[in-house]
Amino acid sequence: MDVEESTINLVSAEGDSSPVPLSVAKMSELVRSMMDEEAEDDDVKEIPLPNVKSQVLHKVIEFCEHHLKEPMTEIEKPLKSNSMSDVVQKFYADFVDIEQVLLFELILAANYMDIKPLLDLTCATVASMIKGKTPEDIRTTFNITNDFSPEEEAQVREENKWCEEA
Amino acid sequence: MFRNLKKRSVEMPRRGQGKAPKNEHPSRGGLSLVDLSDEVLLSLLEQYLDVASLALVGRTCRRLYSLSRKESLWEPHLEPFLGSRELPPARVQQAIENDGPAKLYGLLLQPKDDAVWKCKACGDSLKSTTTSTTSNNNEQQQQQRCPCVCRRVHMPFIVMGFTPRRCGSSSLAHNFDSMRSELETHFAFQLELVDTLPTFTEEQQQKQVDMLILCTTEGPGLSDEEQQGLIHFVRNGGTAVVTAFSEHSQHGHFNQKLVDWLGIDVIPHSPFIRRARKSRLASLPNGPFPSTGQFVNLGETTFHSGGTHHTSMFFPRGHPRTGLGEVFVVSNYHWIADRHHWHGGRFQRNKDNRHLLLNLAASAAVYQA
Repeated sequence: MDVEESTINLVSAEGDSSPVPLSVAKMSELVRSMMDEEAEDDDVKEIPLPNVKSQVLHKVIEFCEHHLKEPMTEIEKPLKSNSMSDVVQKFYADFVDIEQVLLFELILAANYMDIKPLLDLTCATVASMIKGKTPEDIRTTFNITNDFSPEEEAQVREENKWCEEA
Repeated sequence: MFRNLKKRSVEMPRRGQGKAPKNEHPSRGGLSLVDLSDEVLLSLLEQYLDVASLALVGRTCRRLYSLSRKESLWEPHLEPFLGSRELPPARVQQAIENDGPAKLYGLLLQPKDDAVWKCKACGDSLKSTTTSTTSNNNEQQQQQRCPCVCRRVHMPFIVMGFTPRRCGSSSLAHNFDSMRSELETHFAFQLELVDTLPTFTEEQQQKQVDMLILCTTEGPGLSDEEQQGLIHFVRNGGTAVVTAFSEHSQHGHFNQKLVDWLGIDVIPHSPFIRRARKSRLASLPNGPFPSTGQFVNLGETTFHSGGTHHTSMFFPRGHPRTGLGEVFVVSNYHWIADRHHWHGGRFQRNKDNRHLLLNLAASAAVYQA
């Protein structure tokens, strides 16, 4: 007879509680260390994550649950392709095919919760959006304001004009 | 021009701000790339971007420019070029200090004809050729000797180290007689022992010393001023040999300040490797003395650099951390000690050790002028 794995509730910034198997929750080093600190307190069944919104937390849990079943292949560094489907399995490529705001919120959550494979995946996704683009394309992609003065821009261009010559 | 760049660092996620498009479109009004913390952005730039993308992302805005210039991001890309001595050290220094590592990378990509090391002491006349006409009217090319060779006879070659009062049995004052004798054979060698390292901020101080050999295991660690002096000495062309010995440390500093500016972390109470070991280092300096690229040391301890354990490392001229100078980091000084010193010095019995020290000294004599 299978013994059902015990769960713990991860509580989002909005106060929503998500029951998660311990093995899933412990993919987060933050959660793991908080549980270790409270190990002697049998009543601890909730881990507050005030920096993570509910929508983001659900994505994080989805990632961790899948990662336990199908670990993500290690991402080759530096990236060899602009397409994440060339870099990781289909689930993970689809997982990060999301709105840019959510992608950056996932990066912050992965960094805060200390989930290395999720941070790897999300950072690599952002890198894939930079790779091979011109500075102007990168600005457009990420809505970055060019705050260089004309003289500064000319100097920066001079510093790495080898990129254009290569 | 960029000294007053304002750093932005957002550690916490912001509340969602309306509906945003998919990730190929900008996140207007929401989180964006420049809202990530320096730590996360640096990790992203370091791990996943090729060198061209790293340079191009630095052209987008001031903050990404500032981050993309971090030396640590460029070290893996610059490493294959360094030590090849194909670039004049003055240009390396200028590129590192004024123009940044991206500019240096571009210089290193230039054709070799346009980038040749020059001996600061001799103006590269060792490599220059003169053409003369022989009695039967044939043109003949002659190689000139580098006048800096004379330096070893006519000019003092000064090695500075610490007194026994400052560094105990690691002082070159005693039990390094074989090493001193070898240097006296080939150079107008003088040993200068000090209790406190000079600041090397004045040109005269820099010119008066050719090479530093430093260990602080048995004494106080370097003060902040001494460490700045060491860095200044090296980055202006000096040659230094320093230890990262960490099995024990009488004052509890484990030589950290001798090496942390090179990106090295000592490992306090690192266990001894008791047997003598040959270490082969690809970038050890070549010079007028035979070189096999290896040396033998005994009683080594390990240290961390770039996530890897080492027992010795050589930082050649042109390395972003050493600028015009060079540094040989070793675990200890068994490799240059007399046979009877400690539990066995290795200088007399190993010619690789002698040649390595002499090539280092030759390099110091040439480039320190």
